[in-house]
Amino acid sequence: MPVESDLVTDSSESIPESGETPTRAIVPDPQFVQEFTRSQRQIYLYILSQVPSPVDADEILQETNLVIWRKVDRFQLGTNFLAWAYQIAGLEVLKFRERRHRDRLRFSEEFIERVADEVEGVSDQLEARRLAMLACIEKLRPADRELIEERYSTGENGLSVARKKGRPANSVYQSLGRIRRALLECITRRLAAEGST
Amino acid sequence: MSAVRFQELSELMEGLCEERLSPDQLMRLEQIVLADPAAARYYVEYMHLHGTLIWDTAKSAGSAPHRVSHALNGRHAVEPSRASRRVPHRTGIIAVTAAALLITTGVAAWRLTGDRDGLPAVTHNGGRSVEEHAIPAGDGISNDSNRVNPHSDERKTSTVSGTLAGVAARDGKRISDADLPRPVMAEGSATHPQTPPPAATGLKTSDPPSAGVASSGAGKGSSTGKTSDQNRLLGDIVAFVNEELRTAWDVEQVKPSPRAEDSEWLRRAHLDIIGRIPAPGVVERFLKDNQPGKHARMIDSLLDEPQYVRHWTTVWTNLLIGRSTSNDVQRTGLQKFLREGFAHNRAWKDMVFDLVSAEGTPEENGAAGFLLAHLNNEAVPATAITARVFLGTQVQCTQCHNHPANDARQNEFWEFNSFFQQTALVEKEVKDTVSGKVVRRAALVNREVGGPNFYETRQGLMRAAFPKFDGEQVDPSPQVNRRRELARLMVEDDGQQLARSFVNRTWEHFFGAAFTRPVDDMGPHNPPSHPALLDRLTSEFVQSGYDVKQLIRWICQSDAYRLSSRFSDANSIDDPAVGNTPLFSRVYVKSMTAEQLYDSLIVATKADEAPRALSHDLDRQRDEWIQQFILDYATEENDEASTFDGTIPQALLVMNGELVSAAISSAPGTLLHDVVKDRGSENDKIRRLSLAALSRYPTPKELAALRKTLHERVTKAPRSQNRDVLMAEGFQDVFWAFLNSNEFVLVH
Repeated sequence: MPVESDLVTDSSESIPESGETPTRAIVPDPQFVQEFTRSQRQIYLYILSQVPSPVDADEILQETNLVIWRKVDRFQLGTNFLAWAYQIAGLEVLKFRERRHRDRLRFSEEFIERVADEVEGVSDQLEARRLAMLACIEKLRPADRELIEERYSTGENGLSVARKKGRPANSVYQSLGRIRRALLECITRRLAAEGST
Repeated sequence: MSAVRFQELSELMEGLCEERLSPDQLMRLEQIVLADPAAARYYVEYMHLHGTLIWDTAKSAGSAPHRVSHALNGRHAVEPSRASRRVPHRTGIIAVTAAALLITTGVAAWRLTGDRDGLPAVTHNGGRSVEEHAIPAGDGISNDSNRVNPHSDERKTSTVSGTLAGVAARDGKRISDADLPRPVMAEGSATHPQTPPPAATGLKTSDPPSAGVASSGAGKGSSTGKTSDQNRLLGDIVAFVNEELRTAWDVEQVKPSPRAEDSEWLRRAHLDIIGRIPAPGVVERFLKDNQPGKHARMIDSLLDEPQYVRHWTTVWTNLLIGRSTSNDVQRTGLQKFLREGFAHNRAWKDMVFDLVSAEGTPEENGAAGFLLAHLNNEAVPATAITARVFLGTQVQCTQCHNHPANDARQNEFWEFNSFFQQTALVEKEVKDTVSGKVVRRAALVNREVGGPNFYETRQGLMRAAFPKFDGEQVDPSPQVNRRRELARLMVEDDGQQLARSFVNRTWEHFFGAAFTRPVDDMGPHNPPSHPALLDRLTSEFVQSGYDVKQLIRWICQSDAYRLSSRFSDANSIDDPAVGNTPLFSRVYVKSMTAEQLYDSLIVATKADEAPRALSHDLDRQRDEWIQQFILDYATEENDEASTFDGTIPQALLVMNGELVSAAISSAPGTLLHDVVKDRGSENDKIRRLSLAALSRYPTPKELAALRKTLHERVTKAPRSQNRDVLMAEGFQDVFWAFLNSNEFVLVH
């Protein structure tokens, strides 16, 4: 058998009559698949808070997904999918750190633990924050909105936007910082207002 | 949260987000966060903002942030799909296979980079070669080659070759570039064996006949009814289209891509016109056909297929009311109305007139299903969607304020909305046609009310709006049926906006890009890319009596539609995906819609002929299957978000779902069963699977690589295993790899 994994059933157990190919697939419970699909963003955010680079975070997400998928049969429906997924993602972050032990830019384990706790604690507010953020983006001045949209278009970063606009990188960094802070404040205000009505 | 309090932290966060922190700064950041719980919170909130921006923009295109914000008003919970409750549990290898192969299937648009030597351009993020990252035996998962990155714009060249790399990597074999099959479509016809394999002849009898079978509903537009005048006009218009596009190519100094292979063109034409891939027998006959004009004849015969009616009904149902099946009665009614319209090739303006002016329940009048779906929220969605879908104009933004970018004023929105003022929804008691019971059904009625509509400006002033369309005001008295007046004005419009918008949309349907971007935001503020061409097609469409099939012929017979999807060095700037104005010097790659994917899987695998699973009611099963991707919002535009976007979870859903598991089961009746059972060499069998999934024969390299994989599977297995079973599993893997390739899920 090409795949050696604990999930593969021992093929000698069940050789069917010749000619009839067995259909042997794990078809996960649809509820599982739905949970899985829906929690992608949250898992990504969980990971991103623990590694400094979005590209790395993405890689870890992919690996986490594979593990989740491999362990599909270990998950009990009705229990907290996200908590389970966070656990797996956490382990993958640690593995990734080990692989990159020579990387000078990495967070300490203590920091990662602290941040992971924090993210888990606010996990249920994340969706509300995201919706608030969308509304806040609408409220930005057009030029600011344009800048932030450009910065977060695929493949861009502050530097590439600065080059495109012919602006000094530092001034773009400053603008981006100002806009992100404005968004954060707007989100906080908005949520406070919603909470009081 | 005070920004001042965290001034230092927020500066460090800036550096972190732009990835320009020094190790010392990183340490300082850690210190601050670890020392203060509030700082930890600030850190997490900041990263959440940053991460959400990354994630969201990666997943949505263009104007999405604007649209999404409308969704804030009332977001509905996702309704769990009905289809999903019945998936059986089984254990085995396919899910593992899925996970292993999945990462090799790219998602974004398909771009073949200029690899002249014909080796596969498996582009991956770091530009590292597959070789370096082949995984030792036992792990079986090739992590790095071509992984799916939700926010990477890198368009990947994961064709079958990429997927096959996964098959081989799974076997623990190191892959070198030389082992990889050639990239799909990258070669000239020399590599395509033109003679069909002997074993494939058995397929012919079971293929649904295509050419020459006219649907009973084919009306005036059918090929049989064409006069020589019509033919001459057709030639004129096609020549004009060619000329206009060529002029633009010259001006922009691009050279069009080479012509598509016949198999590529045939597959594209099938997907665009009838919504699914061609059956293998049709491909073989078409490739063998040497008579001139076979492309034009194929277009005619596709337009006569009942599948044409089904596909265009699906496309327009989705445009008009979306994919949600939360109201089956409205949907069924509307589909019936559209089906009849497209089957008889009714004039588009007549169909629109009926849709806009409809009254009654969806059972009495299917056209009523459209507006019944959008009358919530003071008919604001009805106003916005009617303008957007039929006229290609965006008015929803002017509901609350004057449009920032175009001349539209807030009053215009409410004047348009005023046409819907008399429209109301009443509950009627009707007899259910199936059960015979009396049930309550929503009906669309007109109340005899008159006078203006009132709205509030941003300054808080109340204003009155009388029904007015394109400068023409309608008598506001109660006796005048306003929607009927609106429908009349829309179809009589001198500006021909209804026709122009339909032409623009239909062009996009075939070429993957419209003359304007977005397709439904036309107007002086957003000039089209090819104004003369759009003008001519619009006026010819009006002249033809809004003949939809004729319009399709003009587009599909053009030289440009015959071109390959691939870039060449001479037209690499022609890429609307990066924001450039489309030049149509190649046919842009489109993703299959969920419906196209479903129907194509059925055609490729003959899953519907398996005794179990996918049985009689294909439409209903397809709808149920699609529901798992849909979220709907009751908003100003009654948006819905399709989560069908070709990401990892998506692909997992599709490839591990009941559908695919039934489709590649080898139950009697399915293609796989036939291929495994029938006599024939391994090469023939692989060719048949390739033809069924990709509408083409495999290249010699692909063939060699696949045979090798098959053989290794057999030779490496313990002797106790049955060879036939191993081979059957091998063919199943091969088929799965074909179906899971980018080449399968893209329209190219």
